Amino acid sequence: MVKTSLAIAVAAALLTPAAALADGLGKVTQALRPTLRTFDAQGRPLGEIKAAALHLPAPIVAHGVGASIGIKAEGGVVYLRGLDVQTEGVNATCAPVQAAARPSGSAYATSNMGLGGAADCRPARR
Amino acid sequence: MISATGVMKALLVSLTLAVSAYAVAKINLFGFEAASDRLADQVYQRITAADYGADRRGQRAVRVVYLDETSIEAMKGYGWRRFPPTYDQQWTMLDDLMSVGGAPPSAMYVDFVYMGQGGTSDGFPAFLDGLAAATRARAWADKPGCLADPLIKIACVIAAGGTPIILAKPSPGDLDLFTDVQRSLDTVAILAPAMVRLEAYPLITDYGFDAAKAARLGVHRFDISPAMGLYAAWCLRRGDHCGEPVFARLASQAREALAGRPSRPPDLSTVFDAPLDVVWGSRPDPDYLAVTKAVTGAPAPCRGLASGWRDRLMEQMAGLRGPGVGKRQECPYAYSLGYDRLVVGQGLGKDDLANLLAGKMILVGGHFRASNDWVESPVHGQAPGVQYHAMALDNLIEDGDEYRRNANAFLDSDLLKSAMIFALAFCGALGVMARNSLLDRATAEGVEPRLRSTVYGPLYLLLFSASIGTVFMATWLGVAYLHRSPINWIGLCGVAVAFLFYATRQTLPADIAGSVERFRFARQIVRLRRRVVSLLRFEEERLLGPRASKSAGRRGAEPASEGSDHGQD
Repeated sequence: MVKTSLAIAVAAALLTPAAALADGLGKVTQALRPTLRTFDAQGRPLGEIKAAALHLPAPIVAHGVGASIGIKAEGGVVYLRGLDVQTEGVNATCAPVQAAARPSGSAYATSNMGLGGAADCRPARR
Repeated sequence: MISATGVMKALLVSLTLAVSAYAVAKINLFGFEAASDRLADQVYQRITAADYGADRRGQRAVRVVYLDETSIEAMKGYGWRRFPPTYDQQWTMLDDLMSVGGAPPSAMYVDFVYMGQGGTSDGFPAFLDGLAAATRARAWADKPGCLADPLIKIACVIAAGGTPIILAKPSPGDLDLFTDVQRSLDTVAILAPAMVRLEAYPLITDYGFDAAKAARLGVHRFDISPAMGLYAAWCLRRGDHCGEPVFARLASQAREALAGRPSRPPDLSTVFDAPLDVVWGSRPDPDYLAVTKAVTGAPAPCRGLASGWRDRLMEQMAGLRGPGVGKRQECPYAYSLGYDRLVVGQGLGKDDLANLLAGKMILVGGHFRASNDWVESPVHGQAPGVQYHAMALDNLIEDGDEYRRNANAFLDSDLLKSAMIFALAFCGALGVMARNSLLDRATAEGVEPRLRSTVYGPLYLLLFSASIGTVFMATWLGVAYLHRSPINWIGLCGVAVAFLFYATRQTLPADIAGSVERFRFARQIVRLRRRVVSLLRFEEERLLGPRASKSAGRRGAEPASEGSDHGQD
């Protein structure tokens, strides 16, 4: 009994900051398509998920490659496109393209034109 | 006042100058003449760029969605592992652009050249099916009247309730090849040659192929440029058909063709009869500025508000020649957004997406620095090819059939320049003669010393100003009312001023000195000039001998006499 209580306390102690951190990334409030494409953190396609299968609003627990939005679903974390969902509390800090430090090996592709890519955006810290 | 001999002399001098100018232009040694023409156009565009598109009619309708190296890096998070992406992924991109705005765009152009399949499991059938659904190909693909030419095909797509999707292909004039993939795409979409490195932007291109070759290369009577295709779609959707009866006829013929009845598509080449000389604007799109601020928290890192032609003229005359860089870097004229930024969605709300996509003319293209699809823009510097198409479309929306024609496509612009030089030289020579004749009379009547500084000296100024003003006026009139690219106004001004300096070389220094000699500072400058001239005078003494030395010595010793020498030119 004591061991169980201790385990619960330890788990709670570990999960609380994680939950707080996850909450700090904002939440997904609405799906904008009936079915959504899902990816893993590295961007490998996982398939599709029906919007009805999501428990919304869902806290964003992580961001994947290319700032994909990770939420808990289907017993794990799936990553969605920001275009497919409505979010709340997601604040990005993006540098304009001409001022952005580009990833190494990437040319100043739009030094003259355009707003810049998602690579210029970094989710804001809270 | 001017004798008949004088007039004949002026005619002869002007004719000699004009013929020489024509010969120099035609010889075009080292390409100097062509470069000079281009420079004149570029500087004119840089000066007047802020005045283009004041009503923003085109800017409100045209959008650019682009991919670049960083986009591809970011899109790795969404399954894109290579470029070009699979056809399946490309359809996802087009489908996003079709749907996330809440309503489909008016028309779309994809500036990626489609040649063949990337692999067997590339998702090409899905791409084809998606295109067919978007363009409602089932309604028109089996109607011969809808396939007669690309313009009526666009009209049929619109009449069927679809969205015209124009895909890039290589020009059949350059590449004698039409692949199976292109043939399949041609059944569900419109293919348009993506031009590269052309001096002027073609609108309708008739290759003059025979029927067999045209069929082999997938050419339906003629080809249209992407901007022409999008402009046709824009006009076909408008109630007034852009005020062009040909678009109204095109729409009605498309309805006939869609109903399976024989149709006779109108000939739009009678209206859009020449290549377009693309005019670049610099007015930043307020939506672009607002979205940049929204997603970055900082103002767009480019020249925000448009500055007028006076500021720009000063810039061009000062040290800031060429397209602006740094803080003076122009914002993109068309509202442009990276596709990856769209997919990530950060900072973009539903309204932003609707404003970006719904009912707009979308151009999708690459901003890849590593590609060769870049054009030299006089205003923006190097610009991606897709922005060139966007600007051409904007020109058509702004100016309709009064778009700026490339002057070289119409007449011998060198002949025009020579005629202009002839007129300027003739009027200039007559002006100089008249002025000197007046001065002679004043000298004879003894009023010359009093009037020279206030009347006869400034007459030269008037003569020079009138010549330059005439060139400016002719340039502006040609662009504004004849809708032609500007004549080489820099060269013409140079020739006119050089000729006038030559024609007045004997009297001009004295007149300038006489006009300003009442100012002490000016007198000091005149003295300094004489000293410098005296110092620099060395070769003629050696070559001309004692006579030149004596003459020079006399002039140096009697500075007051310089103010009164004048000659009849």
